[in-house]
Amino acid sequence: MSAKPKIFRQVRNDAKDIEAVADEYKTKLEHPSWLIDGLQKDAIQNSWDARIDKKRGTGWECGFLFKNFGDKDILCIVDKGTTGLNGTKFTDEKELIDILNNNQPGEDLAYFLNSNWSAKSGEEGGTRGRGKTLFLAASHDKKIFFDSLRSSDNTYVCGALYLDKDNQVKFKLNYDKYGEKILMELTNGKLTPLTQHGTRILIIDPLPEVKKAIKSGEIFSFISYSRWEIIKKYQAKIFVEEGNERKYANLPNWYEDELKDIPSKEFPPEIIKEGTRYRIKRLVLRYAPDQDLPELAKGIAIQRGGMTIQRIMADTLVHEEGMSDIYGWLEMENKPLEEEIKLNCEGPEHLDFNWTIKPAKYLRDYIRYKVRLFAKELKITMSEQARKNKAQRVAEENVLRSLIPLFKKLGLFGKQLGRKTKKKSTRGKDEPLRLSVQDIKFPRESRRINYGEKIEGAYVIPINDTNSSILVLIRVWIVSEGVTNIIEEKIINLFPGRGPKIGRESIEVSTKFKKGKYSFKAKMLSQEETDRYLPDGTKIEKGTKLYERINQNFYVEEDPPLGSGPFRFEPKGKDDKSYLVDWEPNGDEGYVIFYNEFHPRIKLILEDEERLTDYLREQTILLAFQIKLEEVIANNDKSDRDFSLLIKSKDLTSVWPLFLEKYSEFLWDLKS
Amino acid sequence: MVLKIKKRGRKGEHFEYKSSKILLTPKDIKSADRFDASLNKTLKKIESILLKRKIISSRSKKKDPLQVWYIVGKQVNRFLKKHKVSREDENLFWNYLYGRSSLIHKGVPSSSISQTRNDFRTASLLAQYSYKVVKKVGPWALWREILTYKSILNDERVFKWVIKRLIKTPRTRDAARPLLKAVNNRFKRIDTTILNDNELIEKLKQVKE
Repeated sequence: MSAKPKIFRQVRNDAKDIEAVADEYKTKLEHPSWLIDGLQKDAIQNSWDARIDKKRGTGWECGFLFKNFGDKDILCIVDKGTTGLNGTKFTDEKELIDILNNNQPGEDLAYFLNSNWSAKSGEEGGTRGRGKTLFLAASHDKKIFFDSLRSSDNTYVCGALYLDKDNQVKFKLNYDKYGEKILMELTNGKLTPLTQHGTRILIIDPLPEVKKAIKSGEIFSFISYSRWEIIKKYQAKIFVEEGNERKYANLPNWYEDELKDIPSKEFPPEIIKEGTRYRIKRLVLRYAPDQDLPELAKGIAIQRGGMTIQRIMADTLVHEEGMSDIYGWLEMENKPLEEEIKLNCEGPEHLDFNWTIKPAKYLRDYIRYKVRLFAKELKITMSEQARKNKAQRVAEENVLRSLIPLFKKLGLFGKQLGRKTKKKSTRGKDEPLRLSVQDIKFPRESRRINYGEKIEGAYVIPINDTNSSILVLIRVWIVSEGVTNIIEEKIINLFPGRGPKIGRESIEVSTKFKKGKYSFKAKMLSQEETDRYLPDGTKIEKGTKLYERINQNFYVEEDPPLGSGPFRFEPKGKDDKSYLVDWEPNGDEGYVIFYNEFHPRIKLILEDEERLTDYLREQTILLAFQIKLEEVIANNDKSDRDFSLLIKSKDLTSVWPLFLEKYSEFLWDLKS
Repeated sequence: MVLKIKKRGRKGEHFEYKSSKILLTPKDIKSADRFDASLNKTLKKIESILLKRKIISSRSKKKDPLQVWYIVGKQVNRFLKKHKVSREDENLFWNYLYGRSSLIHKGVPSSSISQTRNDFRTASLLAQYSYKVVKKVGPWALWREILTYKSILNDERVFKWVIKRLIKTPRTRDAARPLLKAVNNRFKRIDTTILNDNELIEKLKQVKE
């Protein structure tokens, strides 16, 4: 033996790898026909990514059909209007390895034949090169043939990819006339070489379940529900040929533009999280109760690269009755949302997302918020106010107040909220000279006003409860950020009793109003010198402020800030043993904490203010830690040492002890 | 807007982001960082002007407090022209200036200071007038007193009348207090903006020190 050690290539058991990849698809798809579902998805995606007309897919077609070469069935996946397997015509392994390591786009041939390599662009559907492993998994012999006519150089390439007896996946290929010779040998002369640019894949002796799903037409459902977007937008042609019959996949009715009897709402392009550039193209939500919505259509389809990656069930986002009847879809802007979500959050099989990391977490929170809004608009969910008793309201307020420091400490909101306690309302006697704003009405209880909406009764009524008239100046105005806009100013002789309305019957909030907080104000000044006095002893002279307490705040195109904290409570009665408390992010307004009023633990104390306060507080503290943990994971935030160390340790058993420790510390401080 | 506030706790100094907004976004944090950096630059500039003019010692001893605060006010106003602070965050901003430059103001007040007593806000108001007039009226302590009375500040005519009186008869802060209080009490319940000049003068004449 020589002194210099020899270097060996590590030998992998490819048979096991094929099984492992197939198992991942099986686990994620969770239905008996997982293999054909995964197969169609990957085959179509590869073909769609290779389409010549990238913008509209003109001339593109992809299909599945059976052939028979002797004693074995062959599943053919064919396409046209595609580029074929372009790239360097390699002739040996060293050349191949260089191509793969250079990671250049356009090397379709090299990437097609090898595993876990891919150099597709961010806009394309696949990236990891796992799809062809599933082709092998679908073959009883673990063998596929392929041929391709390349658009880049009109080269014909043909070959075979197979699992050899030594458990290694190997392939052979050749070009042009030698490639044609290979095709002759492999197919006993039953197939002629391709004459149009494109690729053909032949799965040798497909497994019975694959054959059955294609022959029975079950495959159409999978195609239609995963490729509905390209069928709808580009009239993409995807067919299955059985015998002499060729059938094309259709757009499922559920995704047609207008549907009778199905309420629908489209949310336009918008940023999903304030302070980021993550934008969606559209979110469409639809409500289809009593419509026998098929299982495959249920949930909100998250679209990427023209295919449905995953459907999120609305009832897993919003835990309310009727949510399972909501379905819809979401399309993303390519940059940066779609690109980052694909790169950072999408599973290698393109079947799901990791929803705990950004931007997927932001996207799920956004969808959840919109689903709740949609449900509220359609009155699927009840108003929480209607369901609260006084003890609940007081308990919720108490908890809010006491937990502000905790939320502050956890960095879950940032506001210098003081510890001011509200003075009890001590409205005294009516003043003899006053203004009344009794008729003012805002479109919403929250006093949010959107463009195009109106404030009704935007006037004041002067009242004189004295025995003689007085000359007064009444000014009504709106102020925001120090900018004053006078609505009306009048000098009137105010006789005993009620005077005329000063202001306007209605004010329409147009786009001239900037987004933000406004105050509707009014005051009454004496316009004459008198010898009369106000009840507090102030002499009434010209300029005396007779009444200036009118101040009605409202908010244009934004919700008012949370009164006292970063979260609010919503009681929710559910006959579900596993449901005690829960939370949801509430857009940019913090969190909603739900509690199950029907749960015996809560039901018992629902009218006991003190006990309910204690209980809700303790539950909310723990929820706050969970929220923090999720935020830290999503944002890779390292500002909190304890949480950072916990995540770094990857030790699940440490989560609860940390929560308990922090919970204990906070309670200690709170009660001492 | 969001401000980056330095806090001293048991574990030493740390920063907190504060705002009238309840929830902060990463964008808010970034803009707070930018705001903070720009303000630091302004404060450094003020320090260098003060030291160059030798009206403050390196140990923060003000040789001419009126001139020092006047310069501070001018520079802060210039900064505020570039960086808008919302009304809701104004109080936070004025408090936020303390403890940032040990040369201009030593230490941080132990509790929050009301806007009317805030030196930086007073300096900002002061710098709206010409230094010539400011100097004629009296020392920094007197100005701090004048600028706390809302009724005086609300109407320029009232303000000018008070200034004229103080220039005519110069006095210390304590000596000026009865006059300032009397003016304030006279107009506490009056909106002087609806009075014409003659009517206002009549009422000013009734002020009893």
